[in-house]
Amino acid sequence: MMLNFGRALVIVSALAAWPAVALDSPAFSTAMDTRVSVNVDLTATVDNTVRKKVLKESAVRSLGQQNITFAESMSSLEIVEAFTQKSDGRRVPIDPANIPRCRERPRRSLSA
Amino acid sequence: VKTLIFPDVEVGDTVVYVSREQRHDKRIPGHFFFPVMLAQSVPYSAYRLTVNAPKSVELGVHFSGDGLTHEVSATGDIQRHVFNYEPKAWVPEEPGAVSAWDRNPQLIVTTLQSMADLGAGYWSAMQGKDVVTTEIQTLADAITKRIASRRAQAEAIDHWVKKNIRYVLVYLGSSGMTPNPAATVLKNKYGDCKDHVALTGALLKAKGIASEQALISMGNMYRLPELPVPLFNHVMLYLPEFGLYTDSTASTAAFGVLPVGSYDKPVLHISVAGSLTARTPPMNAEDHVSTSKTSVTVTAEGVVRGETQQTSTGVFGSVARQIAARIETEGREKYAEILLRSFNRPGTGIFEPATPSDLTEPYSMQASFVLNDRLQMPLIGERDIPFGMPIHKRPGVWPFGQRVANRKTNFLCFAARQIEEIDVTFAAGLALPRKPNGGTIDTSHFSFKSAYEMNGRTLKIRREFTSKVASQVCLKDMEQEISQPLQQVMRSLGTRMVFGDRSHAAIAP
Repeated sequence: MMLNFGRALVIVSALAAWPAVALDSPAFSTAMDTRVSVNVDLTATVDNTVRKKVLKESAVRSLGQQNITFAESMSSLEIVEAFTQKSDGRRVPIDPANIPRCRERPRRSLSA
Repeated sequence: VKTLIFPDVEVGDTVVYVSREQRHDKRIPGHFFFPVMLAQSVPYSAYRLTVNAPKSVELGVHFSGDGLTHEVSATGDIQRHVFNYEPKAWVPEEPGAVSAWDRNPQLIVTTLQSMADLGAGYWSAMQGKDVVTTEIQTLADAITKRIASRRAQAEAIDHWVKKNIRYVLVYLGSSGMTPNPAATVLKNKYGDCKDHVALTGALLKAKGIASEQALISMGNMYRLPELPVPLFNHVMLYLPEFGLYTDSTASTAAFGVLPVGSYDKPVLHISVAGSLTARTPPMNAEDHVSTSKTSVTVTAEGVVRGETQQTSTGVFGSVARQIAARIETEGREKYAEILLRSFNRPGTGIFEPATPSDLTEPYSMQASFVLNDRLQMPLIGERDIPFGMPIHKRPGVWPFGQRVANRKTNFLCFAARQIEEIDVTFAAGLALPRKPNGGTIDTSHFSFKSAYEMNGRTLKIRREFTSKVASQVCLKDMEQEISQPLQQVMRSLGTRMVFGDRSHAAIAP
């Protein structure tokens, strides 16, 4: 789990530092680049680029659908782009219609 | 929540998304904070964080953990902090481990200078809701009518709120951090943790009993980060006059008994007097006692029937009341069946009625049962010892969680006393079992004693396990010390009755 109140924009080039397939190796690898611009009024813009590489079959399902949570009372979130990058470099973009939005499930917080 | 469904994903592909978030987080007014925890269980190949801020914004920075670096630069009026993380290892989570915040690489960028800043921020949102209205005063007087002791008055108020105000989760985006006024909570008869604190605080105030709000992180986080950031996710009350914490959202807990995850935790007290960091008390084994007494008879035909009486205090009492509520819902006979099946000893039974909202201690429950499987006759060789229908874990099973060889992380552990007494009475004419050997295990972390006795036609068994841990965080190296002794405890629980030939040795520590 990563607790991060932001997400970001610059792409990290390095990826896949983990050995391809081993019994005790992870099923995927994650690279994140987060850029936070703080304003004088202490609001902020958080640009986040997340790249997750599928290393094992079991990760196809878990990475194929991802939930991005945010609190409407504290932020607004826009998906700038999202795509599957094939191993030959091709990009298969997500149809914007395939970005459903629903209410967050209850979780324990100070509002809970 | 936004859900991204990626097309055409195969091994070797990379799913990519780019997002932009506009943050206007007003939880702690006048402050910016950005905490990041880089859990070693997440297979990062790389992580980079860049923070650009006006130089006029005074940022505090903390980073810790292998593989994290930090560079600062400036361009014109902008200060830039760049953090790079190159993970050294991927470490899957271990069962029972403390929070990754307590042990993994992390970084914090914040304008909050101190816990006092943080407390003031919380207090600005949460103060002033415990107003004593006429209705609240009348209610407080009614609840405490004919109760002289101030502590007993506080207890009565605590119990009233637990019984009458439903605890509800509220969507994060709906209410932020501001509680409803106490009068509104009373009218609604429900509320979240902040609402509970507002109403309970108001009722106590109506009787002249002071309280402080105590912010806490539920879950497995046992340390505060190096710099102040609002990672608390729950609030309860501290009553300075009695030196105790109480959580009215824990509706099945007796006064002063906390949810098991709230012991030995850092807390931030906030009140009109300011803020103060403190720690909730660690568990004391004598405050959390589970006693299961089972009387079993074995008929001449091998039918096994009996009764189990369960008494519980502390966190065991809280769980017992939850089970009592479940029994109310599922049915007294149905739940007995479910429980027996969970022991792999199917049968029928019935629980005596119990009141889940009865917060007196010890809390008692009773059940009777008949096992489906008879003891195989004649009684020669080994047979399982029936242990009845305990609603809690058997001695030694719960306080230290799962065993993990070569632990790499500290883990949660709890102080408690678990007692199991079993009397097995054999019908006239049946062979009697040999008396198994009892034993004692005494380590610096727990003690265990098993005793067996033949009294006429009754085999009497007593097992008692006491976890003596002084903190709810056990060091990883302790695993090596406790694993073998705990295996002996488990073997004792599995002791079988031996009939006839002496070659059938009983297993006991």
